[in-house]
Amino acid sequence: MGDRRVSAREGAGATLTPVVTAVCRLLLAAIFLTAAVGKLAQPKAFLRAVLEYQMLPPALAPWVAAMLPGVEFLAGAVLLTAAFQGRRREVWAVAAAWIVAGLLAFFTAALTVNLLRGVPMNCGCFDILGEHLPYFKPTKATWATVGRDLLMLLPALPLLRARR
Amino acid sequence: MARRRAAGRSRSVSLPLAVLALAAAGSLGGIIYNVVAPRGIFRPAPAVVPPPPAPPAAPKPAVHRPKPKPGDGVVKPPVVTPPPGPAEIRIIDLAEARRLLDARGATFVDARSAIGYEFAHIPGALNVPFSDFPAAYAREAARLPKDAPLVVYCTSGSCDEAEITLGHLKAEGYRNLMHFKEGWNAWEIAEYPQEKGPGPR
Repeated sequence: MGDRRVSAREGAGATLTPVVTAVCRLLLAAIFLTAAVGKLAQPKAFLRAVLEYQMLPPALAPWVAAMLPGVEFLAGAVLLTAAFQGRRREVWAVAAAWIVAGLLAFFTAALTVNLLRGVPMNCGCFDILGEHLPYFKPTKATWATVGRDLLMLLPALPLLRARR
Repeated sequence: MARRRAAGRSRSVSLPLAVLALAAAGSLGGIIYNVVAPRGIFRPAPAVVPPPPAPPAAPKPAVHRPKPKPGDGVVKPPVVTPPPGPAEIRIIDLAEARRLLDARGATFVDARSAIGYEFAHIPGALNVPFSDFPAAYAREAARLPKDAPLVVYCTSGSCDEAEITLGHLKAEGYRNLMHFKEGWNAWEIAEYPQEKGPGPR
């Protein structure tokens, strides 16, 4: 029983992993905090977007439209603080990553279903940002929107397991 | 034997419990926000105020027939009216849209989907969704005279639903088109009059 010798490759990986983790957390925090702030600024606009998905009973839509931005904001805030806290309270950061990944998977699935059904709708994700940045302009949801959501899922994947 | 304890690993909270706790806390925070915030989902909507009644029609001036002058009766060449040019879509702001509503100076066209329209719309607006213009126009054409001033709007200044509908209307021959670019979001934030439901049939 003694100190385990660490190879050069393992040493490099051990140095890279915290950096990759912090960058992924920051990226997802930026995305989800921005989306949440936009929805919280115009709650009824987001409710209309939820209704346009035509996937929920109308009685349930207001509750989902109220809860979702709160979950996004909290998950984004936890990821943001975790990016600067290293491995302290890591279980909460991993939990936030699971929530973010789950939301992205759900959005991707919902968009895909509605595109296959031919339901016309806006994504409803980044409306506030879309006022200033053409990329986030809330036009009709397309397969490119699905691709964008899948790309956002990539930085969440390394965060789903606590670092050893 | 070295006692290894992974830094940062909480022994008191499991991952599933942490996920549930974050989701519950976030959900509760979202609900509380929408109860408390002035524009929250669970806040009562501003009272639906009907638009003011139309102003009384101005009395028609008396017809004055001038006495015939020397030279009257000479055939004058007809006045040639130049053909109408391409329709220029005028962009109007929130204040002008409100003024037009109060003065009944234009017909409003809501280019959003039926769901968004029924949720709430400008009083008297007709729903011509961008996604199904042919069917919607066939339904509303009788209420959209070609020479009537039309104000088209959608959700906000950064969506393209109104522009799509304006393009269709322009192709149909409408020449007096206005785009209320700030859209329903600005109207709702200003707490201007609104209607709910499917609209006139």
